[in-house]
Amino acid sequence: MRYLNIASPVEDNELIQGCLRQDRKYQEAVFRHYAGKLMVVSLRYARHRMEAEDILQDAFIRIFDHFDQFQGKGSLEGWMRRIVVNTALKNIDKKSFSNEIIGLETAAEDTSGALPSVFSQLHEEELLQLIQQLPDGYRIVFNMYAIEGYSHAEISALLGIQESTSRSQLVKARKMLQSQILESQKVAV
Amino acid sequence: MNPKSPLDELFRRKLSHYEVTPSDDLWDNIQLARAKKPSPRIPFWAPWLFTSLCLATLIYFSHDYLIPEQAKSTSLEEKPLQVHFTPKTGGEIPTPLPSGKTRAQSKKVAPIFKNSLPPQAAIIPTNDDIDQVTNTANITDQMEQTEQASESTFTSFPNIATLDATLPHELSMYSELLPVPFKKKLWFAKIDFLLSQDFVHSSLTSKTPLFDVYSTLRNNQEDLKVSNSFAVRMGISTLKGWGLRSGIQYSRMSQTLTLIIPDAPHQTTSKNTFETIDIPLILTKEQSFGKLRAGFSLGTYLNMAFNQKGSFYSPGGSLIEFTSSKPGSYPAFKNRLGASLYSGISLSIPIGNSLEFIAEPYVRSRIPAISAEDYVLEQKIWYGGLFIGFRKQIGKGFYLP
Repeated sequence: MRYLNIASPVEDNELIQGCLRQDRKYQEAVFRHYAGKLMVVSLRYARHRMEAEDILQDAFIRIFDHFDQFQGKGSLEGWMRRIVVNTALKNIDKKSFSNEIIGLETAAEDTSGALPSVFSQLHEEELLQLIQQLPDGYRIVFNMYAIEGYSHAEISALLGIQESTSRSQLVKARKMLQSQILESQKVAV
Repeated sequence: MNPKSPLDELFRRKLSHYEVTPSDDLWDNIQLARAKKPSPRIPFWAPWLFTSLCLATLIYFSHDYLIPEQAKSTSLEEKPLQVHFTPKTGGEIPTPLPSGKTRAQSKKVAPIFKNSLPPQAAIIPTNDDIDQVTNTANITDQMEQTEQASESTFTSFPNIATLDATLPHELSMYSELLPVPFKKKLWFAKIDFLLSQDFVHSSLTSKTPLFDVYSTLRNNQEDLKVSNSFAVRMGISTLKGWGLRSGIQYSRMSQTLTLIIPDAPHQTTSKNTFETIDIPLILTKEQSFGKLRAGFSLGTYLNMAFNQKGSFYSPGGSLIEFTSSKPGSYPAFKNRLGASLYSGISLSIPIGNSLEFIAEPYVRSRIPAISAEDYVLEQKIWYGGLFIGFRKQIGKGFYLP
C-alpha cells in the first residue's frame, strides 16, 4: 500500500459516513485529523507556506464537495492526499519543466550509491526547505516520484509531459538536492 | 514499485509522518468558500430526454383516441365505392356491412371461398377508377384508406378474394392499381436531406482513482459542446407507417475551452473540433394525425471518429495539444470505430407533391468512449439535437420481390 492509514477503520468509517451526510461536525473532524499531514504534502509542492495553505484550502473544498466519489477501495488519507497533489498540480506552469540549471544537464541517474551519514541527521523541517528550494519542475517530479510513488508514465499523463522529461527532471532534482546538502554541511563545518 | 534511490527513501521516510499545523483560520475559510459555491446544474440533455419520452408516450397511447370513431365507421361504409372489381355474372351479391359491425363478426357471416370465381369474372377498371387512386395529393393517406376498404371488400365480395394467383395477362398491366391485399406489401421509397444543430454532453471518468480529481476538473471545464450535422437518408416505409432508413451523416463537434487562472492577467482559450462520419440504421413508425405525421425513430449509428484537433488542460493547468494528425501530439484521441444508440421523435408535414418538411428532435449516445483506449480518462458523449429538412418520396410505391 502506498499510503499509511493512521486512523483505525472504525474511526474512518464513522467519519466517512458523517461526511457523506454533509455533516459539518464530521467534516471538521476530518479536517482536524488530517490537516497536519496534508499540510506537509501541500508544503512540498508549494514554494512557500502561503501558497501551501491556498492549495490545502482548495483541496479540502474539493474533498467535501466530492466526498461521494470516495469508493473506499483505499484509505481515506490516501484519497485525500491524491486530491491535494492534484490541486497543487493545477497551478503549475508547464514551462517549469523546461527550466535547465547550469551544470546539471549531463547528470546521470544513480540510485544505488549509499548516502553520507550526514544526510540521515537532517531534520524534517530542513528536508522540507530543501525541497521547496528546488525549481518548480524538479520539485514536482521529485515529490511525485520519490515521495508519492507515482511512475514516470503516471507523471507524464498527469502533467502532460513526455516520460523522458519526467526522468531527466528527477535526475536533476536528486543531483541538486545532494549538492545543496553537501554545500550546507561545508558551511556548517 | 519504483526503484528508489537512498535519497528518495530518506525523504520519504522522514516526511511520511511529519505534520505541520496550518493556520487557525483555514477551517473558517473553507466553510466560507463552500457556502458560496453554486448548486449543481441539471445536465443539458435531461430536458431533451424528458421531452422525447413524453412525446413518445403521448403518441403511443393516443393512437386509438386521435382517430374519431365516427370517421372509422364512415370510412368502412364508404370504402366499397372504391372497389375496382365487381362480379361480372351470377352469384349472390352480399349486402354491405351494417354500420357498427366489426370485421370479425362480418367474417363469420360471409366466409371467404378461395378461387371460387374464374379470372374472366373480373373487369378492367375504368379511367375514373384509376384517377380515383392516382390523382391524390397525399398518396400515402389515400392508400391507407384503400387498404382498409379492400379488406372490407373481401368480406363483402368473398368470391373474388384471391384473384391474384390467376390474374390474366391483360390485367397485369394494371397490377400496380390493385388493392393492397391482392398483392404483397406496398412500400414507398423516400429520401431525406437533413441538417441538425446538436448539443453534446461530454462525461469524463477516471480509469484509476489517481485521476479522479483531474476528471472532475475536466468535466467542469468541458461541459458543453456544439455540433452540426448533415445527413442524407434513404428509406423505405409501408402504408402502416413502419419504415427502415439508412444513409450517411457527417458531424463536426466544436468546443471552446476557457481556463481562468487565478491571478492571471488573461484567459486562455482553446478551440477544439472532432469530426465523425456515421452510417445510421433506423427503424421508424409513423402515424397520420390529419396533415401531421408523427412517430418515433429508434436505431443505431455505425460511427467513425476522425480528425480530432485542439488542446485540453493538464492537471497542471497547461495546454496539451491532442491533434490526431500532428506528430508528437498527446495521443488522447485516436481515429476509431464505434456505435451509437439513437432515438428520436419524427414529425412531418406535406408541403408539396410528394415532399414533406421534417423535424426530428433526438437523443444519441455513443457506446464506446471517443478517447483512446490507453488514455487515463474515458470520455463518453451524448448528443441531443434537432434535425430539420425535407423528405421526398421517390415514385408512387413498389412491391418488394
